[in-house]
Amino acid sequence: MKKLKFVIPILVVVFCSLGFMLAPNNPYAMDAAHKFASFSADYPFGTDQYGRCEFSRILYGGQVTLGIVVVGAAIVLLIGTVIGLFLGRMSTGKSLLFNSLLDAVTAIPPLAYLIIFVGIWGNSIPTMLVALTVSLILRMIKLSKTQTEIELGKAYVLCAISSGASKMRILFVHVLPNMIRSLIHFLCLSCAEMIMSISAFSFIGLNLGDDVIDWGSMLQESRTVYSVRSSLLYFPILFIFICTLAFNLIARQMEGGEENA
Amino acid sequence: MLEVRNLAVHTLNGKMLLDDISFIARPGICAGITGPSGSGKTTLLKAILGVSDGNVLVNHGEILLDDSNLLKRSAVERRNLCGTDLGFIPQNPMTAFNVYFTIGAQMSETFQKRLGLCKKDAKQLSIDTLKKVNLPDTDRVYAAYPNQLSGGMLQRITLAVLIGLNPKYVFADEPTSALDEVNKQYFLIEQLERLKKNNSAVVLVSHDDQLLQKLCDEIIVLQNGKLIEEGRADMIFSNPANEWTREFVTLSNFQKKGTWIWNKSQ
Repeated sequence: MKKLKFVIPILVVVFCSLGFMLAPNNPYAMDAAHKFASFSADYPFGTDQYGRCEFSRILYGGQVTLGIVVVGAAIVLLIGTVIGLFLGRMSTGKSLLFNSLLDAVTAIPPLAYLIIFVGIWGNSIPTMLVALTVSLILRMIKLSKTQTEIELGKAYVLCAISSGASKMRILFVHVLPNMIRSLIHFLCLSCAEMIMSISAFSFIGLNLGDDVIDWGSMLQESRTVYSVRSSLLYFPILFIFICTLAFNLIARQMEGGEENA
Repeated sequence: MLEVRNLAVHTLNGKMLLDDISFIARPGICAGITGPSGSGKTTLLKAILGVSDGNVLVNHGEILLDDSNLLKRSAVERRNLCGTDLGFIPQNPMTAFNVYFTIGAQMSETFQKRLGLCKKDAKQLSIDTLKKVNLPDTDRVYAAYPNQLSGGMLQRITLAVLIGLNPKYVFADEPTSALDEVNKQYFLIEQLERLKKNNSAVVLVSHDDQLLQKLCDEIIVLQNGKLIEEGRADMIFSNPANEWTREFVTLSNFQKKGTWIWNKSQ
């Protein structure tokens, strides 16, 4: 049962990010003859106002949205953790400088970073990725640095040193496994946040570029035809909801596991 | 021979922790360090091992290991001495292990890294040493996580690691704090005496008068970071010079004569 709670959200995320391989139709193919088609074997979720397959568009949108989220999360986890580990090991004098710097930079909310980067480089997938990664990586560094400091203060580290473990060994073999849970917990919550940010930004028109399908821009397009076919609006919302929920559930499992350990 | 000469330790903001400490640990001899809580006993051990806290400065004196000053060596060189030359039994066994790994994994890892053993030999050595410290339920202990074992068991495991490493100098920081009387008497004392016979130098930090009397050849007494008394163990116990030592000896004599009365709660 406990495993199931963990596996189902992961399966949901994997399906949403890799589902485009199963797409029944070309998501870009317009077909004026099949405008607003209702649910059928050819078009499982029907078609939109240009006759494009809604199901295929949802799956391709998932690839874009979750692709950004997964790549961003991987970068944040790798770089953020390593920098945090090294900063956490620093002596108090040097770390005071980094502490104040981190405090200053993380005081700016993530949305503000997005607006700054989109304002500079215009809207595209790389911009979105950079903006999301930058704001999250700083938080990740802060978290991993604090966790490292806590772990390094514990007696087992002292014992490891006194039996001759090297600095790198202590950081990566002893400290890292002890804090990885809380880092992944944080990361999953950030992933949910990232999905919301990406969707919200493309909904208000700062989309990821012309011709890029994502759930936010699908919402934006179907908003105008809400009275004709409301299901076009509900499907993207449903998928945004499911993915956000999945990431939150994974985070919760991470948190719950810690209590049992 | 390990010789500490005029060692002084301060915190970063100038508070004195240890002042002008000198003592010698010779092979085959057990030196006891005692003194009230907060007198700097653990600080002294940490300074010798080079694992002092970040806000502590070792700013005066020398620690000579076979006539070469440890304080002049690099951190990497000093760490390489730890485990093989300088062994440490930590004060609080409950926090001495990484809760993320099993006891066996941590013991084998230490033996593999420090003694250069292969995986199989390291496991065998771990099991042998666990048996030596009266943990006959070896398979369970080997596969257990630290939080599944009691403080006394973990304390014996720290001793097992030390026996396996067989260092030339053993620094035991209150090795009996979590042990019951039987284990203390038979196993800890026996094992430490075996180390002594193997020509290791044992430095024992303890408040335990029985342990000090049984094991130690020499005793130094610290108070407020100063060395207030030193001498042979029997001399200290028969003829204590300092006020704190006198009280310590009086209390230990009380217990021996059986006049120490425990008021059982109803």
